[in-house]
Amino acid sequence: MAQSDHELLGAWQGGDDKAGSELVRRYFARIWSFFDGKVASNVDDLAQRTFLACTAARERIDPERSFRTYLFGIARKQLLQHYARLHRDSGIGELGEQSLDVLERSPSQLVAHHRDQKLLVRALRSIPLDLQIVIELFYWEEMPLGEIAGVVEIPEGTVKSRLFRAKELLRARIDALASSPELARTTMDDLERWSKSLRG
Amino acid sequence: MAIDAPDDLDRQIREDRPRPSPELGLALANVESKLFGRPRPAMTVQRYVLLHRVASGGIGTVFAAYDPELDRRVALKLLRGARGGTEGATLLAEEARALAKLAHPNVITVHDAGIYDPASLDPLLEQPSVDRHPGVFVVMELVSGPTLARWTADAQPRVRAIVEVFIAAAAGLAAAHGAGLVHHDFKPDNVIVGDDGRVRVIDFGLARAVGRVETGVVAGTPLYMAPEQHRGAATDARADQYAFCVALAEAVLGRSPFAAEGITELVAAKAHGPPALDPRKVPRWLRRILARGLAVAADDRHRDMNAIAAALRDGLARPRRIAIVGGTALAAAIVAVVARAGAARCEDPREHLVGTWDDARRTELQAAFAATDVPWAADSLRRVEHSFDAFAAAWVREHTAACEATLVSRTATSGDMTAKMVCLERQLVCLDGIASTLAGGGAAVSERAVDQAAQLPSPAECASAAGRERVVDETDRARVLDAERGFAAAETYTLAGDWRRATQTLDDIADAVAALDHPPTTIRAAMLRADALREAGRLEQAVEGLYVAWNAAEAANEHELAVRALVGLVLVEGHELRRLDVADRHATLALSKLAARDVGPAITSDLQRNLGVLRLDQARHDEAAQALQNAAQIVEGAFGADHPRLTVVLVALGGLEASRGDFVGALATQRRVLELLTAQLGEHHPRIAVAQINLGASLRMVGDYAQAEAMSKRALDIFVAAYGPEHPHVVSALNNYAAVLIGMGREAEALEHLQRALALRVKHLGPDAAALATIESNLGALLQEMGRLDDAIVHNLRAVELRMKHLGNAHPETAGARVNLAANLLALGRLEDARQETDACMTAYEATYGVDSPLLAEPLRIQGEIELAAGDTATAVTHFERAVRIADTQHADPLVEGDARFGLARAIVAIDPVRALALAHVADAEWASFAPTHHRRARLHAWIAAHERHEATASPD
Repeated sequence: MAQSDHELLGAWQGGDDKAGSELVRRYFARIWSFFDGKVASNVDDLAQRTFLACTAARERIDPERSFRTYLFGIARKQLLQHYARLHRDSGIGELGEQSLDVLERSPSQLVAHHRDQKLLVRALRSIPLDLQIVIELFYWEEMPLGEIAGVVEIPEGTVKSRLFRAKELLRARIDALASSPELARTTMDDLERWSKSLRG
Repeated sequence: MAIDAPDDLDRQIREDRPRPSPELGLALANVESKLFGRPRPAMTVQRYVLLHRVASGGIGTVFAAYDPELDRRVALKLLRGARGGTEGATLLAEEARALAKLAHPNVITVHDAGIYDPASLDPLLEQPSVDRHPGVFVVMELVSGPTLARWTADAQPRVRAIVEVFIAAAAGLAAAHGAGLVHHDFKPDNVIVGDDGRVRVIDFGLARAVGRVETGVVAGTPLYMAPEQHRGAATDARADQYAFCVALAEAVLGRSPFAAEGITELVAAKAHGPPALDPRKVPRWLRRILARGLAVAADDRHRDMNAIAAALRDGLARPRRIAIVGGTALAAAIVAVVARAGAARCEDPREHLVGTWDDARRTELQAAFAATDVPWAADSLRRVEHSFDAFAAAWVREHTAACEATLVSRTATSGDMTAKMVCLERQLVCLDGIASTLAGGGAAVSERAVDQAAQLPSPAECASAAGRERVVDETDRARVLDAERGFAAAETYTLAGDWRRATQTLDDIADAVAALDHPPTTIRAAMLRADALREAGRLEQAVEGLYVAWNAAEAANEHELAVRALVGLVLVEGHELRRLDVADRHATLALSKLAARDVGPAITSDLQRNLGVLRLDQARHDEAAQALQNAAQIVEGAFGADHPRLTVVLVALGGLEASRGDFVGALATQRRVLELLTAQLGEHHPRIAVAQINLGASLRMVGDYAQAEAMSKRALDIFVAAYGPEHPHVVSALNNYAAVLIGMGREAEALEHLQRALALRVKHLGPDAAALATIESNLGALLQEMGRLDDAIVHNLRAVELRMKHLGNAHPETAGARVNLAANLLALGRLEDARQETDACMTAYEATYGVDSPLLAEPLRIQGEIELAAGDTATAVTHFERAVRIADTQHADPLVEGDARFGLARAIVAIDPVRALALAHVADAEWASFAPTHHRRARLHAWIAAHERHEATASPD
């Protein structure tokens, strides 16, 4: 019988590596992809820290709470800490409100890493980080609104409006990108589709 | 699950979720090994062991991998999204293997390719992380180095470097096309500029793998896509060519060549035709090549990539085909010689001199000089011809040497030869500029003809032109030559004093200079203009021009030109406009620049010389002497001991020594100057006269009146012959001559000359000019000697007045005028007034020259006479003793020395008659060696006689 996430975690915290390995494998793809789409390097490192942080917590987490939420919450914190270190000397302000384009500003990386990404992914990088996370959790992880609130640390009631705002912002950014010269340098899989969808 | 009704955006957000990376398996193994200490299982694709991710892009992920069979590191690319299932994958793998067969230095070497099962990379994951479709991998050489995109962004390379990289890429494309492979997605991201210097095109044909190359599907990288690609039509190698040209244009421009805001606009712009490219950034030859490559219809483009590569290579080498002035196309000759297989002869370069320096021009020059009808014309002509002949001979030698080095002995490249030929060409037009200006006659032919000819550069400099010389295309070449010729002509006119024609010449070439848009040329033009303004006497404008030049040089990072501008400012703003503090700052800055980077002996010696003049003006005599001696040393070392540059320095040095009272030193220097100038200019040249005047003044100061008289007379004669009896230059000759005559006791003659001199100077400069003071002072001294004290005092007072007005109270020249005035007042019995003058004079002299300067002897002597006349013998003795000591040890004017001794004798005769008489005899002896009929001596003899009689009668029996 497959153990629940909580059971595995408990066992792992108790020293059972096999349980830990099992748990890691369940979530590795998602956590790793969460980081891979954002940071330019150290993806493995951040993933590793996220999982390690689980074992560091002494007390058992509430079994009612979703482990997934807990894990993504840690991942988000790791990400923010990563940027805090990166931008230690600049007065960058509230990290969650900065977009990746700003947080990951590095000319050579912009040139090399992102020129081949899809328009949507490029647009996501240009909206505030926390809004991007909300979009990803909702559409790709299919996480319930309540869980999203837990990950991003906002009141549950505000998630819906957050999501709405994120979508509008995304739409505007996609529009802007589609008519910008930068688009011309992006490898497109199907230009027709984009032109059509934007017009319609 | 949607917030409200699902819309298009919702769907697309889900659809465009990035696919999981094939790297996941590797990453998981990595993290697990760190968390749980398990040894990482090797992730392998067939035999290749994946090490770590190197890059990821649209087509796939690249890993560094290890090939255990061949024991080497490789790059392994896992392609994602392979369409068409197994069949499609197989097709692609075949194509990749075809690429592997192609071995070309500019195409990435492909070692292996094949199909792999993505699931094999992560067998233990709960969720499938990659497609179930079979994947394709390609094994390539592992290259380190930036992509072309990154390289152009980071290194900001120049056009030449960019074109060279693209030529290599073109070669790679050409090779692949030859093997039947089309890239379909050429762009700067797909070219690697290897750290090993080799350019490689990557990701060939892999666009097909991800299903982008199908008729009807529009996919690719929009900016680089050919118009037919946008339409979804079939594409071939010529689409690669289009992409190549877009990429090249983008690299040179630094931005997209199309002025378009979005995809739709972009497509429209391309359909419109090849875009216009900024001519400031893209050379004309390159614009032509790109225009063809970006033709809308594929049929209108270049034949193939080889044709483009050849055209680009030709473009870079293009300036080889330059023709030289004079009618014969030099470079055509070069090309012809090079083309002839095995040709090893260089043609006779003398043909190129025709029209510039040939018999016809020689005749013109002779006529021009003869027409001036001045005494020095023949000498100058001879020397100018000599300079031109020497230049021509050296030029021919260098030309032959350059040609043979490349074509015969093959020790130099053709690039070297081109650079040398361009340098020689420029030098030849410089000669043309000078020769044509002089041959034109009129005011251009001047006293300074020798200097004008000395402008010529040294052809030997062209031997090291490779790497320094800027080689330009046809249009610019004509402009460069016009500019060089114009510069030489303008400088020739300025040296002749014809600043109007100089300015005109610069105006004539202004358009060419502007069109060249080459900062050093523009700055040189600005400095020549400033020179002309200076010659015109418009000093403020000249200074302004030099500031403009200086700023431009700083902005353009032209170190040498900046120093040259500063050196000019030191002289004009300092010496001529007397803004000594400002000039000091300029000098300091120039020195620090030279310390940072050397600019050669000519400019360095100019700076030291101008610095010397500045220090002299600032009355910092030791530093002035040091600077001028530095200048002399540099010039001698670099140009030889008889170079005209040395003369200028020595003249300044002589002047310095004279003003400090070091007449012995001044004599030596000035004799040398005279020698040099006579050798350079012949005996009739006015500048000889100037040197003779200076020398004469020093001779007079050391008491050699006979020689001084000869010099001064000769100088006067030269000037009168050269300029006519009323010319301003004649005035200083008269002044000098008169001073000598005074010293010799020929007072009536001297008076005549001085009065004439004064009248002329007032006529030329007006009654209040500073330059009148010298003559007034001399007149005062003379009239006093002649006993006409009341007449004298008028002039002496005027002299002091003028000096005070123009130079201020503390200036040593004002003090000098006071000396004469004091002597005058003393003679008139106005002791208190006399005392005031000597006090003021002593203060100024001591402050300027120190307490031991020989110039103090005279004012001290006068102080002595004043006190003697006032009855204060003790103080008188103090003054006289000091005067004698200084005059004796510091080699003051013997007249002054004698006067001082005589004064002392009279002061102490009552106390120590023996010593007094001894002093008197010494004075007499000194005076005996010159001016034997001087009335001073008569007075002295009378005194001696009187006191010896007295001694005789007073001696005890």
